[in-house]
Amino acid sequence: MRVRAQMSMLFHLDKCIGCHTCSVACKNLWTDRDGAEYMWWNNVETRPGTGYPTGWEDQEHYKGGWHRDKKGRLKLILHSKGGGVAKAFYNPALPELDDYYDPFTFKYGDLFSAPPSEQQPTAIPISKITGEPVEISSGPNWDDDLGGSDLYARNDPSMDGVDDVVRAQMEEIERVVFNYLPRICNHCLNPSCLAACPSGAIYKRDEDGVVLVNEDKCRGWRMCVSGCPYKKVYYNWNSGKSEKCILCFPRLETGQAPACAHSCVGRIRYMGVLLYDADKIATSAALPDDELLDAQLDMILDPSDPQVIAAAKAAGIDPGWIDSAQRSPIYKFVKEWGMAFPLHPEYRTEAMMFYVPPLSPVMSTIEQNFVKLDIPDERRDFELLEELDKARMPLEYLANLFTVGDSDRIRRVLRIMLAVRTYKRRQSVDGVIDETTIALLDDVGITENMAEAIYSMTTTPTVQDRFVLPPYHREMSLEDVGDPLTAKGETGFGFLQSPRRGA
Amino acid sequence: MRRQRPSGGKSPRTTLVPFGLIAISVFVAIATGTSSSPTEAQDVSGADLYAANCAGCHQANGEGLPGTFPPLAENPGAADPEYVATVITDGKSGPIEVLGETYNSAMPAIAGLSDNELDALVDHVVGLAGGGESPDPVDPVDPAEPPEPGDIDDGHDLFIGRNRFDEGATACASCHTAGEVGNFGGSSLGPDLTDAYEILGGDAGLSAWLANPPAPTMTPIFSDRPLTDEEIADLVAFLADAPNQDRPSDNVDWLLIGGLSGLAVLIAGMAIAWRGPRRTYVDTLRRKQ
Repeated sequence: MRVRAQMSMLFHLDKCIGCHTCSVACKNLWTDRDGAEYMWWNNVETRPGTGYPTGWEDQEHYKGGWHRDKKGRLKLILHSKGGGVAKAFYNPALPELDDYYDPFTFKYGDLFSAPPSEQQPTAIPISKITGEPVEISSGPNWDDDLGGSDLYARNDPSMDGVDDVVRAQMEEIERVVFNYLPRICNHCLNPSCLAACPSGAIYKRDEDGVVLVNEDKCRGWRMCVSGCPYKKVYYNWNSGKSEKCILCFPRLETGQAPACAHSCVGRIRYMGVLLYDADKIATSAALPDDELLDAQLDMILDPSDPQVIAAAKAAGIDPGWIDSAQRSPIYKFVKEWGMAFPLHPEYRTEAMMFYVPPLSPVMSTIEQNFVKLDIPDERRDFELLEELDKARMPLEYLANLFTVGDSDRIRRVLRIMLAVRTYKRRQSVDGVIDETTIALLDDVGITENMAEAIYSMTTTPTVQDRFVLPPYHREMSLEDVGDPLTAKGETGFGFLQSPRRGA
Repeated sequence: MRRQRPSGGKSPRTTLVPFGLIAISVFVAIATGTSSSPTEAQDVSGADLYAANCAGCHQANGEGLPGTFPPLAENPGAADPEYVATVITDGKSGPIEVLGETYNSAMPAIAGLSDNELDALVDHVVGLAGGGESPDPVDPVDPAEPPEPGDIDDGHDLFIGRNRFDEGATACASCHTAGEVGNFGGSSLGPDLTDAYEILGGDAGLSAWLANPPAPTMTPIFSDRPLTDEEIADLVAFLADAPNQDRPSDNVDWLLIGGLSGLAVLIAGMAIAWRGPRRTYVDTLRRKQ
């Protein structure tokens, strides 16, 4: 057993309202720079939809991630070793700028400097790259809230396997459904961006598993951009280097949650440490599709197990981190309650950001111009619980996103969430918890204590509950490198060297 | 990361072997009474040095080659030791009049002589010229059979290294170019030899030069790997013909045209293969509809 620590984030999709505050916080903090205008290290997509960049899940087009070859070995989809050399100067799997979007702003100055005229002055859109006027035809959220759109929602690659009748229904205006999917870099255990980089510029930090691009070593080959199945590595046209989400490690090191998580209005995001067994990475990523998710979840170790604690200490993991891992909300959601899954485990990168799948309204029908729910009024909770197949968001679709097509796992999670709701409603509205409700909890496989814990972690967590950040002890790491008091009493830390093209 | 020397890979015995060999050879040298340094003062022979460095052009007894290399015997200039020493160490080129005849060729500086050796050589030359003591008579060299005329093509092949020299000497084209030796010519490290035949005095002069090249960079290469008479004859024939051959630049046009047309074909192929800008993902979706 080789224990390592990973900082993970969890997205409770049932709480996401799609306000994009996370994206804006990230943009303001990290990518409001020349060459980074089009990058959204954090973005929120409307699902079903094609996302940003358009159709990123279509790996036949973008060739990201890993696949298992006929001999059961793990191979990059992008290219073989020899093929990588052959395509070094022409990589056909790169997204175009138009697949992201031509970043634009508005010429606000015209509002003040326009000469007097009959008409109101307007601020025309201009490209942030060229400064020329542009006609805006796409954007990172062009299909925002466009559930059922015939171009975007219909072409969602994850709709494969969903029944044609269901798909047709989803395009009817009364049955349109969508939810939101916030995405950041998944800081994978088996990153294909790292494997694709010919310069060895990408690395996974030892202490917290954050995947970073060394801007000094990056030579701008852009193999990481096509190698990442989530399209979360971006090429900066100004510096000639690749950039990606850094999980706000400067904030983590000073005890603050990442900006996207910190600013989240719906409080859907949780941060915490997971301990995992690094010895299993290679084998678990190369398993057949239906064993992938279990293998990945099995790698996550119980931080309260004495054997794991001993192994973690032997691996040099700080006791503060082990303590933090024991209190980690991520561990509770992923392992104790089994309610969260990584996004697209079939990409075999072992993504370490986790998602709790969302509930959706039940299907309705139109009768005499009235919208009528498809289930009888009495005991509605239980009906929905029993008939999740009638939920508007098809389970197969969520299963394609999170569980490699296994909709039973999604069904189990949604039933837990519904059972907790019913339980709390009985408790707070009726004041009595009847036998039927207890039987319901039994049926979905949780206890009353678990129901209370899930409830409080879902609806009333404090900041300390949501963000259990380990002590980074940067002051100790700094002492290893040099005297931390070198710059004491001075006005700054000297000059930072900015990355240069070809440097 | 620093790589560590693998420990225990080499036994102490193997490291001692070279010392053992040295010890044995020293013992053998002492026991047989031979000296391992042949360049002691008393061993220096002016005649030997002359044969090695000078006789190629000035001939065995300093008689020179009429019209090409001036004689040393009976040459009043060569009786002046200081002048002789200067010419040996610095070389000499340009027109010179000796005994009423004008010579115009080049003599390279003879490098690598110790003071003792220079003194011995100067003494020998001055002796030939009739100054100082009369030198030991040198056995007259057997008059060489008149060499058969060489073959120009063979000489060309030897020059560019297509055929190797028998004794393994370096091909001329490693340093020199001459006449037509391929589209890109030979090397420009040494002088262009196109006019060497004329400068070095025709058949006789060039043959003498090649038999024992006195140029300081060539001596160490060719002293152990002399050219055979046949090779010399072939090279002389080739170099004699060199001024008449096409200059390499006459062929470069063909290369230029071939290269440009190849590039045009490549660009045309790319224009056909990758016509128009790449389609975005949304465009492909719209086309599917």
